[in-house]
Amino acid sequence: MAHSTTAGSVEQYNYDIVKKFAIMAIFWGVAGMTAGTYIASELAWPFLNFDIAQITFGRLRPLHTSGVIFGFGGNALFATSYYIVQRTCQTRLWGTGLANFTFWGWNLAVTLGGIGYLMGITQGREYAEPEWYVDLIILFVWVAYFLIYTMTLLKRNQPHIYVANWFFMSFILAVALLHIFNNLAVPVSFFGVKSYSLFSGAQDAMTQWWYGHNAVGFFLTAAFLGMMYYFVPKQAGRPVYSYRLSIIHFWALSFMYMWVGTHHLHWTAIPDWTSSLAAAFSIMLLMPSWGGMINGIMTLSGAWDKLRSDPIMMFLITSLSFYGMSTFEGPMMSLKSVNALSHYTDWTVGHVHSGALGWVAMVTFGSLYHMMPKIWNTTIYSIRLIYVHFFLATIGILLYITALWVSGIGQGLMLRAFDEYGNLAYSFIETVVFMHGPLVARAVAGMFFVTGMLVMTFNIWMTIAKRETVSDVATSAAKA
Amino acid sequence: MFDSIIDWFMVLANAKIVSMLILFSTFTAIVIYVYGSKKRSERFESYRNIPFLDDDEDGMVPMKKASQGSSDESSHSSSQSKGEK
Repeated sequence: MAHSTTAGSVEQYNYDIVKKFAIMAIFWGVAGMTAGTYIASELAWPFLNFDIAQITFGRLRPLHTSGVIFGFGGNALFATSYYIVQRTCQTRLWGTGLANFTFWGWNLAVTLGGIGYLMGITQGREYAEPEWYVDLIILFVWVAYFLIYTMTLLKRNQPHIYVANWFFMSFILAVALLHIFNNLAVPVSFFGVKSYSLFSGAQDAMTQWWYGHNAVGFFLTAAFLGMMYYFVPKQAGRPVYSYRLSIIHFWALSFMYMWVGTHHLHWTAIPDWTSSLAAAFSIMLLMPSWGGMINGIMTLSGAWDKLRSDPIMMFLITSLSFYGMSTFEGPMMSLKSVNALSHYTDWTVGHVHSGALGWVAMVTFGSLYHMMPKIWNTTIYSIRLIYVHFFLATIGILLYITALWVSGIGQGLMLRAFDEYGNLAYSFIETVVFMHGPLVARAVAGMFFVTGMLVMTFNIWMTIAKRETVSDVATSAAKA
Repeated sequence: MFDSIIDWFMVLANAKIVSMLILFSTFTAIVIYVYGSKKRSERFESYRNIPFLDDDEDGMVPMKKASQGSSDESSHSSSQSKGEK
């Protein structure tokens, strides 16, 4: 399928752009996760810095986060959203040229940002590190993305807009808002890379974490829920458990997420009421989050056997379980008393990764395994390798979060322990010595996860190669 | 009386309460709208099947049909979705 030269048929949908984004998602997944595993190894075995500034933790860390969030996650979202909007609206994607612009522009931005980090060029704003010239590229790409999505929805052949598209539209709109306001800055010169933010002090911190947590809420949650609401029913072969619950899930998330960013700034110079407000809304967020998780998992109701026989379903349902777990852990950590222990420790890093690896990466793997054979009109090369990938990824995640629970909670307890005279009971270096074991385990966990990613790359590569072989055979037969 | 109510709304510190009331009542209205009518509930639940409506085509349409333009596609898809419901 999917070739305009195939006798008697043409493409109804634009799968070319979906293929490009899907391949780049895998490329950035390998690159970003490898960088992450390397910096995790640097923390365990510091000689790996080799006294080279460009590969130290501080410079490679944003390369890792941008690589996996914007490279892997972003490309996967472009691919799946372009696929889903066409399939659920039963119309071809609007603006083929503009869609290609989003592909080249987005990947150029991620590449330029990454090169900049290695050179020490950064705004110093977490998850918004790229300087002004990259921010402008992202802005143009995002406006084009909004235009493509909106125009495709407007020319749909299906009267109703399926709920997955609601989540994607809220993601596009919210990210536009966040990106523009958090990156308001004045460049020092037109030909220089440095710029300064329009905000300062506590306002700067609040703007940054309004951005930071809503990047989690709308980029890493709402958009991937859009993915979930399409691919879980498709893979399960049955419609979503409750469409009405999905509507409530959507609106509740949209109403609540915008308020919670300040829980990243507990016990700092910000007004105390903003801190309490963020904690209260974080607790309330548990309800829609779990509503959505239950809606996704219950979609499998009556077909639970697929959890034994279908590795793609295992990826998708495990991702929902991690979504439920991390959306329980997050509100708990947003409570001021818990946050006093957890903040500035590895517990936070472990929490982020249970969401990022367990939810975001796993739902993406499941979705790509479902979608990629379809758009290349073939079947997956090896089901067995999907099982291998699933278990490598799951073992990696469990080891990762367990290690960082031990490291983070221990670190937090040691940092605030006092002796009988009211002095600090432990020096900083004693906490580092304590954390060494868990940090080694974390690096090994990363290796498990990257190995799984490499297995997926091989499996997808062979799937596409097999399809080309089949196509060649068909062409030869037709010529004969 | 009326002036004092207006004055209360004008105080910036009260914006938190005002916005909470607006958002909470809007959200409550959405919940009532979604679950409040049996007929509407049935309509919403029928949308669950949208991802399965184009399974037969799987991205391809015959050359002849594709060249007929979007109006034909529209009528085809509409009839297909009506059939599902």
